[in-house]
Amino acid sequence: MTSRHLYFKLLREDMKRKLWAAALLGLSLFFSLPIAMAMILPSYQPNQDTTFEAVIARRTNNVTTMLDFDGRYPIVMLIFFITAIVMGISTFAYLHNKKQVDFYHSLPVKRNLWFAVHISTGILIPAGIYLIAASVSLVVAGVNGVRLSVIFPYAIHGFFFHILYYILIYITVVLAVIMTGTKLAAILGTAVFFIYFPAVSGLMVSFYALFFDTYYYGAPTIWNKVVSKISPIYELILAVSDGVAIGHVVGTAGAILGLGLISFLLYQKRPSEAAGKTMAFAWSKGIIKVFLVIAFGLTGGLFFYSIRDTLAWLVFGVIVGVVISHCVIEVIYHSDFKKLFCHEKTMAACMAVGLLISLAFYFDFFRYDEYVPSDSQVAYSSIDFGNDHWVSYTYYFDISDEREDVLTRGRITDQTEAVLGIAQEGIRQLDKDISFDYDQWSNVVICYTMKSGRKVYRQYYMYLDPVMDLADQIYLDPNYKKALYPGLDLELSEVINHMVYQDVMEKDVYLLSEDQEKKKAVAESYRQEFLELSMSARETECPIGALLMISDETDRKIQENAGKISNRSYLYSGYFYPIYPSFTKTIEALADCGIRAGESLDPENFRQIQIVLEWPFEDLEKEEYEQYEMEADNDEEPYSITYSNPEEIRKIMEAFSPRDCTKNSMVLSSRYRVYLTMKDMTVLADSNFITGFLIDGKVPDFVVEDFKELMAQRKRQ
Amino acid sequence: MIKAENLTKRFEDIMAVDHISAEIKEGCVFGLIGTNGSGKSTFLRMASGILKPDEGSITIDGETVWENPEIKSKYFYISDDQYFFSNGTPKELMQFYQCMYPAFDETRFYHLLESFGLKKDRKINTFSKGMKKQVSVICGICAGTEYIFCDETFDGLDPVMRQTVKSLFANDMAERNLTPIIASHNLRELEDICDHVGLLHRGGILLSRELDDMKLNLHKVQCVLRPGMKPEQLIALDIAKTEQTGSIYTITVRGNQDEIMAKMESYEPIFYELIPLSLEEIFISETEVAGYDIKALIL
Repeated sequence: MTSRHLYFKLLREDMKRKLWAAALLGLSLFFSLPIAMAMILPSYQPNQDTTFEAVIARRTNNVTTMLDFDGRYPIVMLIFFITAIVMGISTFAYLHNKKQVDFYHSLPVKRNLWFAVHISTGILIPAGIYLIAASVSLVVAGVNGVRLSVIFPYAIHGFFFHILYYILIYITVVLAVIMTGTKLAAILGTAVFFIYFPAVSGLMVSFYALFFDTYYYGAPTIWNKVVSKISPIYELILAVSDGVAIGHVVGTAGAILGLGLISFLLYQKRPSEAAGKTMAFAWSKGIIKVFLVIAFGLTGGLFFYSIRDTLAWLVFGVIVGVVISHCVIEVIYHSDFKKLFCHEKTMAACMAVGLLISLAFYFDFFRYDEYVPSDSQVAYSSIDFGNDHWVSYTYYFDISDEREDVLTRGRITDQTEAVLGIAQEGIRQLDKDISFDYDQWSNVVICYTMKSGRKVYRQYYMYLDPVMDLADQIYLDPNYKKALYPGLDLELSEVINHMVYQDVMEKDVYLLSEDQEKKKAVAESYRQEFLELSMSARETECPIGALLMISDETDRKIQENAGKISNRSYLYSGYFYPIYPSFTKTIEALADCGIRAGESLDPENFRQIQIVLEWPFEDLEKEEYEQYEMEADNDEEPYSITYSNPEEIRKIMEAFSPRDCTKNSMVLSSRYRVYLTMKDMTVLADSNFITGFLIDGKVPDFVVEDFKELMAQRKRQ
Repeated sequence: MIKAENLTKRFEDIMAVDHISAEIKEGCVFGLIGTNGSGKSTFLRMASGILKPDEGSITIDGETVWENPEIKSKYFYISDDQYFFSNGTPKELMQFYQCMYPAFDETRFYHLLESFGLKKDRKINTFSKGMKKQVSVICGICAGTEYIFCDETFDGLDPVMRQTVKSLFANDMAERNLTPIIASHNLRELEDICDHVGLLHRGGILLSRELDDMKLNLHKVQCVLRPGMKPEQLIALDIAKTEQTGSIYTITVRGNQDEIMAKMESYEPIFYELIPLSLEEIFISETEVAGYDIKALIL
């Protein structure tokens, strides 16, 4: 009998044994696909607000979501995930039973054929059942008016990716089953394969973050870029959340082939007498134990250190973690409580390694926090001061000022010395017992790209004042500025195509003059003045308006996606760049285009200004501070002063910045909250007030004096 | 022919089979006898390709068994605790075996099932232990293989079924030269079926002999000697063992039956007769010679 002939015969016989799994899976998919579809689709009916075409479009959208590999309908993925575990364990569970092993392995069939048969059964059943369920779903969709030609590609796409990730999970479980000798061990092994590497990655990142002041979370390291991804669950989640790119597909297919090959080889090598033992291969017992015990030891150390951050508790945690995990694993391995402390030398070695790693972090053996490369080692560097996030939390498409993006884009080649100087100051400030004023410090991240190509990241929480001259040098570097504000790097012609002005308070958008030359003058002036803006200068002022700096490509994308998001203006908001009062040429050019920048902040617009003191003064006596705290706790009337004198309003408005400019948080003092009441209430349709803050360092003296007097009065009362 | 050479298997620090060498010829019934843990099952599991020997080799008809489907299709293995598919019926089991044993005799299978009073569509897990053994034996016989390996297969069969199975084996041996290899811890069970016996103890083989040879060369003489005469005076006889009950001596003697009778005649005893030895008695004698206390090992 040929092997191929026998393969199909055995496959048929094996499938007969798995009819229960087919039935359960079929039932689950039947209810989650065709039945769910049959219940949902008819709920979309045409009415006076919805046309028939719109109804069909919504039904089509629902069907594609349900049939495609789409995170918005995760129930199918969940079913496949559970099925993969159940099938993985059940198809090879006979390896854990001596009777079954004797039965199968005494038969005149090669082990590689058994492997092929069992593996195939575990894949073909779900694939076949899903095909049937998807086919019935297509019929249901067709009956509900959905065009099959539209949804069919999604169904094929969904089938392919559901099965691809099913196989990835399934083959991982199979490997765990082959490497173990009992069902409990197989389940534990599966859990190890699923979460060990992401857990170790998280553990190491926690160690870095806990013990190194200069560790930067976003730094691409072997832990978060490689180790954390060695997990089928991670791959599945990544595919669902980020979508399936060709790279993922190739990677997943490669992982399946790799795991399949390892499983195949181990299956052939697996001794029949392993049935009933915890681990099938003696060589794997020690390796797995050591890796687990060290990880548990470090976890123990981390746990106790995070509660009581002393060296003693760190050491205690490591020892406890190692001893407990080692004992538990030995008990599981031997199924004998008396074997708690066998292999005590391995336990001692694990403890030594765990302690060595922990102490290396605790004492910073490798001088991580003190690291500053020499100028000659650095090819180029990039830096983010963390205090200029004008573009932040508004991005939608391709441009953002997410730190990684800024660090990636901003290549600084000429200012390496300045970057190193800032790093040295950051390290110097680490040594000081500095009480940080969170309004004043900066979270600076530096990325060195070494001549070897290696990237090194460091992060410093520091006051920039001592190195403001160095910071200015970098901030004035066009490479840095353009990394932070990518719109400055656009072709002027593109900027002009979409250029509009936005009022910083009203948020109304104004079209500029149609005169291209005048618009070009605005764009040129703006680019020049922005590139010449230093950090120290920027910290003294707040924007008075904004210009849209967007590329043709981005604008096209926004237009295409405008229908998918309710707040369309949100899509554009990330591309409005600030106009500062010091941009005089820009302001003049705008005036030529008919735009009076900062007009809405004209003191003449306001009838009165109310200022509320949010935080007490630093120089308060202890008694006064306690009184302030008590009043705040008791929800008593806040310290508030209203000004209506035009001169006072004018002076206050010189220091005023609208709430939306809090992106420039370095500039603003959160002590004073300001409420403006306009003379003409019709200007702002939805609110009588404009809120904002006062620019730090520009607060009028009379405001400070008035509040001090108010506090004194309260005290006298 | 099945040939084991220096066959060895360890389970961690336990030596299950310790450098065994043996030959099993076609057409005979080979009895593998030994206490629990003596290595019988391990030997059979290696012979059937389930376990891979740590050292040595086991071959069938000159070819290695391990991962050799062609050779493995020459035997059928019945373990001491045979596995059956959950909810499987004898008919389904037959269909499964048919995939791998092309010579499986379906007609005979149904006939034997009927003869044994077993229903082909009844779930096997509702059968008694003995009935399950019967199903296994029927499958084994109908598989049409040259060898059948039975690990404690007769344990659990009632005497009638045991005889029926033995007669089935005898029939197939006569008809198609079937070679059963039967492992058991019970000597009495194998007594009337085995042609050749191998005694295993602590993983090693103590002896391996043709039963007829042993029976022809060992006899029990029950006699009453002349007054004043002692068994020690029967110097012409190769006495293995002597027991006395009153004036009656029971003497185990090696040698040819006719020669022994002639020698006994020459001593002019008052009475003597040769009585057959049971397999158990033969083993006791043979192993005691080898320095073992067989009663401690097997009985």
